[in-house]
Amino acid sequence: MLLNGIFVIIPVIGAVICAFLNKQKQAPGLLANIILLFGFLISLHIFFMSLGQEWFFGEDVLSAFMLIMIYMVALAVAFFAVFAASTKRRGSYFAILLVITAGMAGVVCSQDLFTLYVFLEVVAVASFVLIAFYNREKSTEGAIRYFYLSSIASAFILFAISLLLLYTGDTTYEGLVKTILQTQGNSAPLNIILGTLAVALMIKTGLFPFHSWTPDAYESASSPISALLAGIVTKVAGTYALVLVCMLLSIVNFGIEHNTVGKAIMWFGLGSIVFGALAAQEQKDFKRMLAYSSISQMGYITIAAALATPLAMAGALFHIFNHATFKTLLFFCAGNVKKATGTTAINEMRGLQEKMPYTSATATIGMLATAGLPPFSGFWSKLFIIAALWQAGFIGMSVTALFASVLTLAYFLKLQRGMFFGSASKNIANVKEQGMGFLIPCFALAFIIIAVGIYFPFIYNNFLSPFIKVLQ
Amino acid sequence: MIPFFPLVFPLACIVFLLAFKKYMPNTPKFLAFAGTTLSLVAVFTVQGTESLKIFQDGVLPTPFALAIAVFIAFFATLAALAALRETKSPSFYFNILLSTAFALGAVLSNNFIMMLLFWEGLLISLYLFILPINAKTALKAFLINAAGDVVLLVGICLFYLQNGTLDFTFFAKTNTLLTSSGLWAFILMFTGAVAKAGAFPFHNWIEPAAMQMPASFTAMLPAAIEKLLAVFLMGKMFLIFFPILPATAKVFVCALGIITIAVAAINMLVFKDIKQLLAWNIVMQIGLLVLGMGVHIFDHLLHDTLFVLNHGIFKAALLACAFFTAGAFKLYFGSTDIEELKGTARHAPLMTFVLFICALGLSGLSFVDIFFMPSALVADTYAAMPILIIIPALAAFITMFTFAKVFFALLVKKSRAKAEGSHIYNTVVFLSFLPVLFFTFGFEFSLEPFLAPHFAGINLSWVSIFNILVLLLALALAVKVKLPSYKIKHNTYTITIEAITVFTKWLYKIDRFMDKLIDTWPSAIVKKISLFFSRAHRGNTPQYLLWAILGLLIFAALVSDWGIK
Repeated sequence: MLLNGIFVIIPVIGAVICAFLNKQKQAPGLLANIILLFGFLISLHIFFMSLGQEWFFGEDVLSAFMLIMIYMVALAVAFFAVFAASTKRRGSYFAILLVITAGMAGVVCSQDLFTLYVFLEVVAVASFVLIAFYNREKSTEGAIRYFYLSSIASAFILFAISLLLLYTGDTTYEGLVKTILQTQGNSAPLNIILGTLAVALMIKTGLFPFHSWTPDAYESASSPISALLAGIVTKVAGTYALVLVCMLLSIVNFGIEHNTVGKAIMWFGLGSIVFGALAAQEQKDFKRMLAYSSISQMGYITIAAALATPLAMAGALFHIFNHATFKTLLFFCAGNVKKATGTTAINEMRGLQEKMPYTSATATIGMLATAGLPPFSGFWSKLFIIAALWQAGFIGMSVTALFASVLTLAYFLKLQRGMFFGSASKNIANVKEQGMGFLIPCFALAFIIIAVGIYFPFIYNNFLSPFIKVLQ
Repeated sequence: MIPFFPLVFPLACIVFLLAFKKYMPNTPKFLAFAGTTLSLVAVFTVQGTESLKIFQDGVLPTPFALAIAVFIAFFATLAALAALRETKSPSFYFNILLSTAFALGAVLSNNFIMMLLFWEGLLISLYLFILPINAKTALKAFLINAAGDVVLLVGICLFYLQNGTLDFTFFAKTNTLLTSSGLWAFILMFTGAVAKAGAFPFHNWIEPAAMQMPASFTAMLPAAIEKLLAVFLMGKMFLIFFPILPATAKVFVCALGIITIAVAAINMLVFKDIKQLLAWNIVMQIGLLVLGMGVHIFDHLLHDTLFVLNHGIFKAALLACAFFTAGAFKLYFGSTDIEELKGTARHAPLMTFVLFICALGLSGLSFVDIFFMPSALVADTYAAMPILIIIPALAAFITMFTFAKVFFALLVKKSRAKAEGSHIYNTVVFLSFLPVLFFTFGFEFSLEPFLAPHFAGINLSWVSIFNILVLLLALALAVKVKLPSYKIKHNTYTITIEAITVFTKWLYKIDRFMDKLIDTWPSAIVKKISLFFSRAHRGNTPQYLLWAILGLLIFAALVSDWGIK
């Protein structure tokens, strides 16, 4: 925590300064961007320095990897928000953005479950505020629903941590691992406790059927915040923690059988994949469709994390990264459309590609990557996950996950046809492409999607393969 | 380029034709004649040059290959001449030139690929020839020939995979590379050649094409476009492949020949038109050639194969001449229908005489057929299997019987107006008769040395007598016996098309079902589910909490004893 503590402390300091610059127009955004850029570069440095270390819990390469994602998405969102956020309270806006970043950094840098819980709450509270920031009826409603379910999740987490403390006398990851390894064969108490924790984290992640807060929150929040929520917040506050729990579960009854709770989580992951893909089909709103798409993609990550084989784990982490890039990109595109046309309703406009060619092109890249089409990054991570399922003997799940990809392509093609393709409808005659401030983050994320897809051999040889070897 | 020197002229004329047809209406006629004539001259010219070596692929003797080239160019010239009285369509002349170029290219190629390329070109020109007259027949001809070409192509590819070369010259030097695994290549290539020739079951396009097209085209069919080339290819193939052919190959080839003869004979018996009769006679002659190939398949001797090839050339000359004569009847009397031609002999005595000679030749009268080829074929067949003698005898009988019916009709006393002649067409018929005369009386000239060994061991006297008896019997029966009146409604093409239609309908039904199975029904189900989920997410917080509780219960169930193990 000592070294990685700077990722928490500096954004907090930045947030305090920003709060005092509430009347300034440019300064808060500039400061937030500088801090996040700095954090991003430092996280990159730490990641490359920590390559080859042991991959498990706390100040390790996994944390560094997550920090890169947190700062990358937060930086993109902050940059986008400089142009997209239409508020007079810009200081507060960027201050909360920095707080949520600090909270997420705290989650991935923590080395015990209680610290993790504390930072989860920081992230949750900052999320409520950001969703309801504009004080509109719909966004406030979305924030309240998130609050309800998040509170239940928090209660479950706290309850599970209490039980764990009673049972093992320790909440540090290291201590938990030791205890679990010592209590092989008596898995029932640990399964109950970790299962309770998993349910809470599934709520935070937004997995089916705990997902109900997700569509409303994503739809009602402003586009940069939706991008932040879908792109990284749910991943850190939900998925990352769930990955940790799945890692712990994988060593309960280690080498004897696949953990029962792990299997149950896999079924929930599969349910999310299918539900998200099916529910997205008939959505009439761009952002709402993206919300359901996120539920589906979270399912992919969860199913792989719960499977917990080295290949699946690599696939899960890789998909977390990829999903962070393409879903953030898609929410940015939705933001561009909203800004230009005043709506994100799919059937109210047609032929946007004529008026907004760059937004249309980058959205297409994001959609194809989400659907898992080669050569984009999403193809490789989904391939890892499906191959891992097949390899582990979960052939039915593997095939279902594969077919869900087809469903993903179907609803995105529907969206693409309804909104971007075809000749431009009359109501968008005066629509213009957004400025470079809106487009630069889109281009950057699209570039990452393509580059990761094309240079996959490099990614595999330098990051994924060593990770798989360590886990093996 | 030198081996293809004769091709330059027709191709150059095609370019001129395309360039100037708008400005000079008579240009196509002139160019077609000029292009074919010059190519004929060119074939003769290259005979004495260095380029001869390139012609010599070694499989067949050069004079033989050149004779076929001369033959093609000669009949193409006659076709161009005849077309002057038959059509004004520039595309027809364009196609004559195109066919000539491609046919010469196919003969002069010294490897399979070049040959196939030119042959595919011929397929296109054949299609373009028929298309303006009858699109349906054009498609029929195209499909049947294309099917044969695909088979030929697969055979050639297989041949290349097994031997690593497609050069004819290579095989002329050594046969050692050929192995028994090359049998499939032979079967495929032979089937392709047979399809090109128009043997059973690839014969169905010939009759409608011959009936609908002008005589200048139908004369080119056996002489330049299809029959002769296919026979040429078959001859080459037998010489290349004979070391690896198993005993069953003989049965297969002979059976194919016999079936083709039988199909042609059945159809000839119900003819109503001279061109129809000649069209089916093409098929019958191809059957006889295939039978001849089958009989000699294990002789391993060049002169045996050359004998069969020579037989093919002679029959092609006869058929071309007969078609030109039929064209003359059409021009003079407006029809080639046998009922409408009754009593025309005295108005067109020369044409009747020429047709009579051609009929005798096609029937296999020993005196007319200079090499006693039909007789020799009868003898060969008898030597191979005595019972097989029935087949050439039957072919001779049917041919004579049907032609006798034609002559009885032409010679019948019936008053009708005298037709106007055509100098050009008379010249064409006369010129086309020259090769017949050449083959009849000039056998010692040029090609005889290649063929003499074949006749050395054959006693033709009894065969000639046998043949004459068969022809006399046919003639006698033709006086009294009427032609049968049955109608042939179905043939292999119509049956195949009907079968394909039924199959396609079923495929369509399966496709619709599959479409419903993988698209319509799943889409409808997905839509219903999606709408249900949308309705279940209308912002009702208690409902949302219920979802979460439901999830919790499911999770508990899954991890409990009755859940997943």
